Amino acid sequence: MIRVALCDDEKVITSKVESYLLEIQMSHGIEMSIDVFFDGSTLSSHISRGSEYDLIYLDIEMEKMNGVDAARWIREIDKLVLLIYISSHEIYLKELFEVEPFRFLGKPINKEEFEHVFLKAYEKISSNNQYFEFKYNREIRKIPIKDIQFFESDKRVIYIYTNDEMEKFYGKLNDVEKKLKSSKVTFLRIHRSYLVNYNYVKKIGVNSIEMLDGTVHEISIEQQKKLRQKYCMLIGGDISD
Amino acid sequence: MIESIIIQNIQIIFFLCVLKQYMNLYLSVSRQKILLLSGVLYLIIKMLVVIFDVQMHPILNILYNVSLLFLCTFFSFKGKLYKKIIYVVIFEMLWLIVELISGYMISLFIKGDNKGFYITSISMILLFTVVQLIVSNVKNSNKHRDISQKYRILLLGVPLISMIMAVVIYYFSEQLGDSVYMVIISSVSTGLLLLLNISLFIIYDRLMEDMRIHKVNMLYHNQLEIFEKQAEEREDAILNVINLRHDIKNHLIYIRELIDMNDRGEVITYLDKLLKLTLYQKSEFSRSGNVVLDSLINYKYTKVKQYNIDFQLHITVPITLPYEDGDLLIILGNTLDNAIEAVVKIPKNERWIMISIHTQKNALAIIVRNAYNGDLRKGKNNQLLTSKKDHIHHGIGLSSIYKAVEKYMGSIDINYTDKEFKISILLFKPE
Repeated sequence: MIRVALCDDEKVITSKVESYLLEIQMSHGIEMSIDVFFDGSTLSSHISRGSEYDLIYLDIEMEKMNGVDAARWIREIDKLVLLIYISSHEIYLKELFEVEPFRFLGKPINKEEFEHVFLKAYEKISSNNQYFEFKYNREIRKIPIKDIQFFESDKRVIYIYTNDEMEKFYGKLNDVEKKLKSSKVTFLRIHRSYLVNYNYVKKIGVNSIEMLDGTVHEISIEQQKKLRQKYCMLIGGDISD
Repeated sequence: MIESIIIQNIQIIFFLCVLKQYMNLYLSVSRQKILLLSGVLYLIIKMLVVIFDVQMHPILNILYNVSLLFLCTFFSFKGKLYKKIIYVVIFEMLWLIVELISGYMISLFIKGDNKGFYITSISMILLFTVVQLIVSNVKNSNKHRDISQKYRILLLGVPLISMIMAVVIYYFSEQLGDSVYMVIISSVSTGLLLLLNISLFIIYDRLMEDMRIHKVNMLYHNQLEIFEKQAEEREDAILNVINLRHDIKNHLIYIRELIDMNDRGEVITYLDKLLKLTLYQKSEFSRSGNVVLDSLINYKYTKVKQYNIDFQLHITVPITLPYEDGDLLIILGNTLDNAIEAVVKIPKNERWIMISIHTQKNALAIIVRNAYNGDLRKGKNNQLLTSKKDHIHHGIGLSSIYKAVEKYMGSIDINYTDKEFKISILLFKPE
């Protein structure tokens, strides 16, 4: 079941989007919960009080709290929620891109495009719902892959860094990389001892990457060329509509 | 003995500084430590040669010097092999000529064994002056530019020939005696050789600069054309909106009447029509707000209307991008040209091109997919060769794309099936 939130100060838009979503629920059999908000600050305060969403439709031209500020607020709290901007303008300023929106939808909202974008979002969200299993102290533990920011290896110990904590277990990073290949989540081997979750990367550069929380990881020289090609394929696949 | 070694070492250190200054013009330093190490090694080898009093035939001496210099620079500087060879040979030639000239001058005034010291000192000073002359006159740091193949041979040949001439002059002067006239003639002719080479550098440098400016101008010229077209179309569209505003009262009256008559369908049709009359003309296919990309895509779009190509465009970029306009034009322009070329080879109703341009995670991704039915040709480095008949000219498009992408340390990924061709280009935001 995916949790969707809508935020737009125009009732016309919210009811339209809601009806499109319900149609998709029927035609594709996708379970979803839909929460509607009429301004950015109510949405942000709900989220800061613990409401979690997988997908948020955000109008960037609302009167009270504009979409960009709302998006920034939301990102502070939830790094992974997919944001879809709705706008009647066709031109975008740089600030809009800082928060890495998933897609843009133009007003008036076209039904086919809406469905297409939703399904892409759905694909991404469901791929994130898998678990990573590992053995430590003779126990088998598992962590949702979507919480894992990166893996770091130090000799034979592998540290798993998630949002809240750090776990560890014995193993080899090559094996972890192989295991994760079957999940649809992309991990980047930026270094012999680092394996990073692509969803948590905010900026990719030639010789370093910056994570959503600001930490910067260096990319080893051996991996730089390989990674460049990989980004190309990733983005090519990700965006090819 | 010891003082002469110390003095020689001082001269060698000075020499190495001049060498570094010269090489730094054309190549970048690899690692300072290696540079220092090579310098020290050079010093030691030279010292050993003196201590063990190794005598060498003059030609052998030249070869020995060149190899030593080359070894010194090979690891200390970054750059292509042929460049290192050329610049080392040129430097050796300068050094040789300068030494010969000093030799001629000194032999006029000083006879005897300590000639050597004076000759070396004067030649150091002369060499220093010559290098300063070159350094101050070479406007372009050629560090990043590649010398095209035809010029490489010339660049190597001239100093080599000059060295041979200088040595020949020296031999003749030895045969024909010690008179003042002889000395003057030999030193002047050798000096002319030097002048010849220096002028060659300077001319070459200016030519390169001219070529570069010419290239940049061509690019701007193209850009201007494209922007002008875009501006014209925008003007027309803006006029439309101005008219619309004047007519708004009439439009509203008409709509009110339609509603009064309960003609919902007609109201919607009429409103749709009005909504379409925005700031854009129908021919403005790309409207992302980014002038560079919009103008280029629209230009290509209108140019190929006759070919019945189904264009799809997905573009989300900010209105300004941190990449040079010229580079974006080269990359996207050439990519589109190639897609169009490929697509016209396909039957009319199956032609399609899909363009995706997005910024993601601080990088720019450009993906162009097109219908495809042919075969590709690959050259070395797995780079695509053009299928066009005129390999040399049209291949330039592809290599221009590669060059521009390299500038941003980006990468290109090419995928194709027998139905579709896809090129994905990634550019990193420059620091």
